[in-house]
Amino acid sequence: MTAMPALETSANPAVGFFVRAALALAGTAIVTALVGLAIRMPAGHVVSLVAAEAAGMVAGCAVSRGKPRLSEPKLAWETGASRVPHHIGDIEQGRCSVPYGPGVDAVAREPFDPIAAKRIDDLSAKARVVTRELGHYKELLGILRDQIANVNVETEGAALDILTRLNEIDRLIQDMIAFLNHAGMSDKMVDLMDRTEARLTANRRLLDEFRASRDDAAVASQARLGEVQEMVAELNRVVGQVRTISKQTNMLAFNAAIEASRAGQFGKGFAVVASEVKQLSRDSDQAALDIQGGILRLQKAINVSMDTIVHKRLEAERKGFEAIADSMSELTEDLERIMGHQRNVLVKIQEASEMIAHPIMALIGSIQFQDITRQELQHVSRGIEFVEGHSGQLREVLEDAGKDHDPGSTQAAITELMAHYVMSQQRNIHSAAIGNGELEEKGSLVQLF
Amino acid sequence: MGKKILIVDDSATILMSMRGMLERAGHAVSDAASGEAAVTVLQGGLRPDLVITDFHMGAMNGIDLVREVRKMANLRFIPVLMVTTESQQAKRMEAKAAGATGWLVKPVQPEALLQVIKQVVPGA
Repeated sequence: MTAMPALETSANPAVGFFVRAALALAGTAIVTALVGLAIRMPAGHVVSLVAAEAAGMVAGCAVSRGKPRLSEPKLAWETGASRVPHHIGDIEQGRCSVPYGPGVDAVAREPFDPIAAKRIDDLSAKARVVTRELGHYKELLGILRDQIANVNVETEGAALDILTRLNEIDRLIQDMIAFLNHAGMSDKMVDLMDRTEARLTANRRLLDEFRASRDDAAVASQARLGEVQEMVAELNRVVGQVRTISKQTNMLAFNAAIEASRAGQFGKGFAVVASEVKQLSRDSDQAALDIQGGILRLQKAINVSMDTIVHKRLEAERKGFEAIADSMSELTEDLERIMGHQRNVLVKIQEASEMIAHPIMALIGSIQFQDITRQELQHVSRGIEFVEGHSGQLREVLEDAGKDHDPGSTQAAITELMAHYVMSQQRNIHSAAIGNGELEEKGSLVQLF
Repeated sequence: MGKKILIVDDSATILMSMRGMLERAGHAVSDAASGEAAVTVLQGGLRPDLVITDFHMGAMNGIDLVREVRKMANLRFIPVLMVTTESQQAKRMEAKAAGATGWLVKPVQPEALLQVIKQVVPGA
C-alpha cells in the first residue's frame, strides 16, 4: 500500500499556500531577529545599529562587542579604517577578527561627525517604519490562522459529505449485486429456463406421439383399403360366376330350343320358355357385366382415394409435423440463446458493479487524507502562532528600547516545531527547508507486534 | 464472520471512513471521539472484539487508552490496533510496551485494514 500523492504537503494547495505564507513571515522574522541582536548593545544605540544594519552597513566587531557611550552618536566602525568590517552574524558567533581592545575607546572618542549623524537619523526613521509594520503582524497572522482553521472546518465538512455520498453509492451497488445474485441470476432465471425447456421437450414428445399415431392410422387405413380391394376382387369372382352361369343358362336355353323344335307341335310352348330363358341369361350376363364395370370403377375410385387420402395427405401431415418439430427446436435454441445472452448480460453487470464497488471502497479509505491535512495545517498554525508572538515581542523591543527583553529564539521555535511533527514527510520537508538533507524512512505502514 | 469493533478517533472523517469500511465487511461498529469517551463506553459494558484507536487525541492519547483497556480484566486480552499518522518507531515501541497489538499508518485502505483484522481477531 502506498501513500496517496495528494497527501504530500507540497502537493496540497491549501497547505502549500499557508506554508509559503508562514515561510514569508518567517523570513521577515529573520530580519526582525537581526534587529533583535541590537538589544544586546547598550540602550540608545539600538535603533542606530538596527538602522545601520538595515541600510546594508557592517558593524565593526570592536564596537559591537564594546560599550560605546550612549551620548555620542558616532559610528566608530566608519572611521576605523584599519578594522576589518564584519557582519552582525559573525559578531554574534564570536568570529570577529578584530578583538575588542583599547583602540576602540580611542575611536569612540573621535570628534562629532555631522554626516554620520544625518545617516543615523535616516536609519532611525526607517526603524520606526519597521516597528509600525511589525504592529500589523498580529492582525495579519491572526487572519492567516483563522483562514487555516476555516480550511480545516470546510474540508472536514466536505469530506464528511463525500463519505456520506460514497457510502450511499456503495449501499446501492451492494443492493444491486445482491439483486443480481438472488433475484435475477441464481434461482428464478434457472428455474424459468428449466421449466420452459421442459415444456418444449414435452411438446416435442407430444408431437412425436401424434405423428406416430397418424402413421399407425395411415397403416390401418391402408390395411382396410386392402381388405376392400380383396372384397372387390371377390365380387369380381362372383360376377364371373354369374356370367358363367348366364352363359351356361344361355347354352341350356339354346339346347332346349333345339329340343323344342324337334318335338314339333308339342314343343312350341317349351320353345317359348327356352327363348325366354335365353333372353334371361343374356340379361343376366349383361347385368353381371354392368356390375363388373361398377366394381371396376369403384376399385379405381378406392385406389384414387387411397393415393389421395392416405399417401398424399399423410405425406403432407408428415411434412407439417416435421416443420412444427423443427420450429420447436429452433424455438428452444433461440430461447436458450436468449437465456444465455441474458445470463451473460447479468454477469457483466454484476462484474461491473463489483469493479465499481472496489474503487468506491478505496475512496472511502482515501478520504482519510482530510485528517492528515488537518494535522499538517495545525502544525503550520503552530508556526504562525510563534511568528505572531515573536513579532510582537520584537516590536516591544524596538518601542521600549531601554529595558531588557527576551524575545525568544527563532531557532528554538524551529526545533520545537520539529519536535511536534507526527509524520515522516513533515519532518523530511522541515529538514530539507533548513538545509538538512537527512531523510527519515517512512517505516512500514502496517506493523503487528 | 462479523465482529464488534470500537473505533476511537477525534476526527469525524476517520470515524465515518472506518465505519464505512468495516460495516461493508459485515462488522458491527461503535465509535468514540476521544480516549475518555472510549473508556466510558467500555466501563459501561461494551465488549468489543477489537479496539481501533488513533494515537494523537486530546488529553488521553491512544497509548494511554491502551493502558486503560489493559487494566480492565475482561478486556485485558482483546486486540487493540493503533491507526495513526504518527510514524516514529519510538512511538510504535511505546505502544507495543503499553500492550497494543499492531500499528497502522493513515490513510488505511480497506484491504490492508481487513487483512490485519483477520490476523488479530480470531474468527474474523
